[in-house]
Amino acid sequence: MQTTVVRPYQNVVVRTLRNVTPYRLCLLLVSITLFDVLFGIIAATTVTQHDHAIQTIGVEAGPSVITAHQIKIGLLSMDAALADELLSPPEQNDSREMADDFDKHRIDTSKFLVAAARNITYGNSELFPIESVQVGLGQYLMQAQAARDFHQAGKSDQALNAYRSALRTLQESLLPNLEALDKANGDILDETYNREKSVSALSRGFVLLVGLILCGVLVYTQIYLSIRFRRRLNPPLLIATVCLLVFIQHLTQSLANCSNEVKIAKEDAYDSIVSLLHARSNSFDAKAGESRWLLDKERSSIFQKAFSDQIGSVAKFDRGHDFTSTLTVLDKQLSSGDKFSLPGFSGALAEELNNIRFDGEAQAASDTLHEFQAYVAADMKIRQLENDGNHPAALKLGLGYNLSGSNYLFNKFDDALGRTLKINEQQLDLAYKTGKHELENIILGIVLTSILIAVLAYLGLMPRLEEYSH
Amino acid sequence: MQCTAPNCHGEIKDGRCLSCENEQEETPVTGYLPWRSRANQLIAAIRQLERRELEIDLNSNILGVPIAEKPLRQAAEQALRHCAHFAPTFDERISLVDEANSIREKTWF
Repeated sequence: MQTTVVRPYQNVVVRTLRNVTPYRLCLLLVSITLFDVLFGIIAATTVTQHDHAIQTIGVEAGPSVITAHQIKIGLLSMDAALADELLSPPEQNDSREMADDFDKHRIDTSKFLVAAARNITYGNSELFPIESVQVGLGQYLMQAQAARDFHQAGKSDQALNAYRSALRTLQESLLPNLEALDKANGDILDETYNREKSVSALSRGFVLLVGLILCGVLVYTQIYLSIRFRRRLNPPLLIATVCLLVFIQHLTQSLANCSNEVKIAKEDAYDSIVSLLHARSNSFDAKAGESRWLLDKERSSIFQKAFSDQIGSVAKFDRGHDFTSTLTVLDKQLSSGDKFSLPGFSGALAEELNNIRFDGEAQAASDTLHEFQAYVAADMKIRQLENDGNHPAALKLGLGYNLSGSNYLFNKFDDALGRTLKINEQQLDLAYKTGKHELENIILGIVLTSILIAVLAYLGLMPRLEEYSH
Repeated sequence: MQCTAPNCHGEIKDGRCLSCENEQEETPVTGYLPWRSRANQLIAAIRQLERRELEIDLNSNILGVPIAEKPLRQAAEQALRHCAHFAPTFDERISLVDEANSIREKTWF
């Protein structure tokens, strides 16, 4: 005679599938626990992803990109001050003011370098450029000091040679390393943001789906108990369902709000900041190039081209467009409150004008372009005077802080740019803080909710299971 | 011996409960079959009440349980749970507890 041996676990499966009440209750308890754990893991992972994105933009990569630009601007300002100092006769007030300017920018640059070193998040890709800048800065300062010493001693040719060495250090060592530092952080920031952007809605949807499946299992259990045990409501399961629904709503809302803040921080604020910092560093490079052009006549054509390239990277106009026509359209659109649309205009300032999002930003950005036009016009006058052989007048305009002086107009442009930058930096900071606030204590909430649901499911089902045990 | 009326548990003396004063059989109900038999009779009474073959009468009783749906269901549930306690196999216990739950009065919790 043949006998069929049914193993215990097979027996349990068969009974569960046949809807034998205690086995079905065990299955429901296990299902609730598993989906609860799964929900907790997915929710925590999604929150961590969102937190990482806002952290990268607001604290890790974002500020490092800004600091790299600040160092670059500081170095270019030092170079401009050095060139201006070499253009002024020694022992004059102007020369001492330039030396003080150089020192002020040197101190600022050193502080930004320390700030960059303190915010190393991505290892060697940040560490090596910072170390190289530190080493290069020492070399640059020695070369700059040599140029100043020769200048003080009245040795113009040797001063110019020392200046050229310092400029080579700046252009071949310091600036490329700062570009590398900028790129290391900028690439990670863009990659993190693009990943966050593509998976954000998906991961939130997944959290919602798993949460709703868990909710469905709880409701099914409630209905099952109601039919099988003739008890309309199971209070622990009812509390678990309500808690879960409330938490899912809070969680998905917080994640959506955080995603929105990440978008504001990156697309609205950070992208504008990067455009403005490019405009600032390139315009400082152009300003230094203006002084270099006046100082080093042998290389004037190189400096002239570099100046045009730097100005073009800040504000470039297609054929048939110029500052005047673009500013007329800009003023009209600003007064009517329309979104800026400036055909034939490109460059860093155009990028900023196309990304106006915050209160006061449009006015500040418009002022920046106006002031930039005034500075470029002053530079053209300087070049005209120099080309006409009037070097003292060109020098006076180039080093002057009077109302028509190049330095004064450049500072006005930089102030307007600084105001625009500040608005975006404040908004970036606000978006970071709001995004972080949205995720505050969410992980703790996920853990507590998961534990609560598991405990309530146990409390709700165990009394029913115990009916079968004695 | 204790009264088998729902929620009473009073002492039986001379065929009557000292607590609820319902008539009670003095023969102790114990073991699978007596409880099964008691449950069957109570379930039959419930079905008759449902079909209106039996009228509600709180002054009369069946096996010490007043003839009304609520006490009859409570007593039948209790009898089936007692019966499940003596069930020879786990499968039978499961079906008796299921039966007890299916006959019990519907409650909120």
